[in-house]
Amino acid sequence: MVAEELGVVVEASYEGGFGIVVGSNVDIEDIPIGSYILVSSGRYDYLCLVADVGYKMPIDESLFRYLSGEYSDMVRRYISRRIVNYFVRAIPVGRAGPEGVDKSDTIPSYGSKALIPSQELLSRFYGRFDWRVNYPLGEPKVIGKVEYSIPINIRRMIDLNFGIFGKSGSGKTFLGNLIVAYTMLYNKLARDSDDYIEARFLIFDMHNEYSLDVLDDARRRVAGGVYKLFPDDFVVYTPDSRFASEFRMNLLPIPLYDISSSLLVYVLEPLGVTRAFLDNLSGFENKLRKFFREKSPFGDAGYWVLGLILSKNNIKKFVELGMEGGSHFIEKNYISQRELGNLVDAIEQDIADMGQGALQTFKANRRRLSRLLDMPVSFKRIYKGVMDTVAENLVSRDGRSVIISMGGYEKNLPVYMAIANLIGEALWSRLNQPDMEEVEETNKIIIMLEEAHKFLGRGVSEYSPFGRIAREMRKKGVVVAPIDQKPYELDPDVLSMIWTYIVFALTDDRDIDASLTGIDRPSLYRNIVASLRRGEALVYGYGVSFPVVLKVHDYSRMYRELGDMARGGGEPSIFDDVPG
Amino acid sequence: MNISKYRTGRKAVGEVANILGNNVSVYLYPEAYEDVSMGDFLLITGRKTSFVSVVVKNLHRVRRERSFSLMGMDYEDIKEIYPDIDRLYIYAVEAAIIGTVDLSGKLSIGLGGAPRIHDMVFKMDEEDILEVFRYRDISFDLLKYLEGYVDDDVWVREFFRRNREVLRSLGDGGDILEKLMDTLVWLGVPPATFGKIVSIFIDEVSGGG
Repeated sequence: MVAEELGVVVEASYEGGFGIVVGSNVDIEDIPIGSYILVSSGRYDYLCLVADVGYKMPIDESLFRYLSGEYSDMVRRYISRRIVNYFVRAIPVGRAGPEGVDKSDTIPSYGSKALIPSQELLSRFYGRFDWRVNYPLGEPKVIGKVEYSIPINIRRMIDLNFGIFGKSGSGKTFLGNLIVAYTMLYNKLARDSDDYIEARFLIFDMHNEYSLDVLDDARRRVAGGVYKLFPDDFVVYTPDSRFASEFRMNLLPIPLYDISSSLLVYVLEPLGVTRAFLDNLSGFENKLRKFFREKSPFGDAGYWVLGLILSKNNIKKFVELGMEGGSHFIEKNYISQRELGNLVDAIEQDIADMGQGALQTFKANRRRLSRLLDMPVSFKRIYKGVMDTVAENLVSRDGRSVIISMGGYEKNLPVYMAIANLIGEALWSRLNQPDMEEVEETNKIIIMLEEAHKFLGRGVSEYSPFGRIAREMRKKGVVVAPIDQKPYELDPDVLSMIWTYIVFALTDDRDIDASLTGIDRPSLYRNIVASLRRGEALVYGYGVSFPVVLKVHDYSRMYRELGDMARGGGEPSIFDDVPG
Repeated sequence: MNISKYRTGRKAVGEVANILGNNVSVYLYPEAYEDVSMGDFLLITGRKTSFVSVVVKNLHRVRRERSFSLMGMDYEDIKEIYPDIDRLYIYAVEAAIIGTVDLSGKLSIGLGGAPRIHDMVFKMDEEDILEVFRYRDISFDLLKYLEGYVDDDVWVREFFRRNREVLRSLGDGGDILEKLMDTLVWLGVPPATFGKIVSIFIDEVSGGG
């Protein structure tokens, strides 16, 4: 039984929040962590989140050792009901008074009443969705039930970097699809708004859940990805040739033809090659370019990376890849197995000119480099500029959003990292071209980056293209949206550049602390993050008026109707009962 | 409560000898000494007001100018040597007043006035004790006037033991226990005391004992 009045404030400080003694007619089990309560002092209404609930057992537990089962239960119930002081610790997130709604810089007076907030009060703090700029993000966590949806201001959220954090299976991908869908609707429905800005996405879709289907834990389809809702607004690339033909995606192999050693580092580092090898890579490039131009049957310096990979052990595989029908690996029948065998010896002799140390490093890392043959690499000339094409799609006037669907490589981190970094580098270069110098903020490019700590991690982000983009490209309208289950591993500088945080359940203390980087009095929110259930999130920052704990709307339930809306239909009916 | 039945048809167990605030010393008649014990309800009959009290201490006094000597004999043998030995010592109890009964027989739990020296004291009937516990439905309001004794394990146990049958006749054991706990909460007894009293009550009254 939930009472309207929950208790009274008996202790309060700005730093520590409010201590509320719960009334004896209220069942403590009705008050979940992270739910809203209202503290009314008569002068102000303080909207609060429950940060902690608890009680102290005032009776020595040894009493129960001497009681028979019947009486022990009865006494326990009595103590629970009449003797135990249940308390709630609440964090004020905002304050409403005659002068309006604002952050709270006061505390309520002693004896202020704690109540269950009404839908009207919540909407006073958070506003209402309008299906133009403000979209329904989720149901606030309340005691009991309230017909109200917390809106998120898409225009504000995409204006600056935002982050989505949470452990695996907590709901990040559902939310990601929802936000992208809302942004696409915003692109269509808010064009006449004063500060309209067109948004394009670059989505690194590790598990094909934006480009194909959103799956549940048992890998069953629960809804289509956002691409299926807005097929005309996206161009989808994949490194997986099977996916490319089966789902009509654009093939995006890792282009090794004529790649520079500075870019090749992004491909090789995830394979675990040694530091010494990478240090020598520029020297190997010079040597092998000359060799392939002057001494190889290719007669083309652009194939120099072949010289790094080829060994006696993999020649057969190399030829097979080249011979495969429709292969994107290399131009068919380019050279024979015998010729390749001769090449290996000749290359080693050439590298030996760099010294024995360089040769040893070269040979020692070749086994790791052989793994490239299991990756979707291509030596075909036509793919040389494929990453630039991806980048151009994002910046050109008639371009579209881009999804990189990893296809069958969804669990292959080296492939994912290579492709992401090469695209990042291409985008960085494109944004630095002269025609982008005077770019006005009429467009936004939002980079949704899964496993973000691999690119924006401590000691990594300084050098990675995404780190540079996050730091320097805000003025050119680029927004980086890290999606990660290990926010602690992100560079603190990157975390501090995030303006809207969407935090799902996290368990590691360090991850929880990192996810609360941008919130006022973070220690009060630690319990809340740790206790979030699947699909629940703490959202705070620029995109919402005040910190909020909510259950994100079920993307799969909205999917079909969002599709109708995208095609000019009405608003989703699941919100018919929710005042907009 | 019918007071006249005590005055007319009962033998008093003693008289009020001293008044110590809300407590009274009751000197017992020698023959009644063994009938009165800690936890018993005593009725002190006054002229207008009678007082309900509960024995909180057993005492004994030595008459003036009489010193105690070890005898090493049975009491009956001692009596042959000192036939008036029962008059040489005073057997007494201390009782705490917990309620009053007016001339109409109306019981009130609480304090009101004080008895006089030599007021007659009677052991209360079970039906009158029942009335005390049934004061305002079922209550342990009397304990509010025995606050100084509720943390004494021995007294608490004796109180429940001496009144076990009356307490059991009040109704369901759980309901009575709840009323007891209500009173203890009202009294604000320390947690440890609360636990002890509840467990003793269950032991002596609600349980099998």
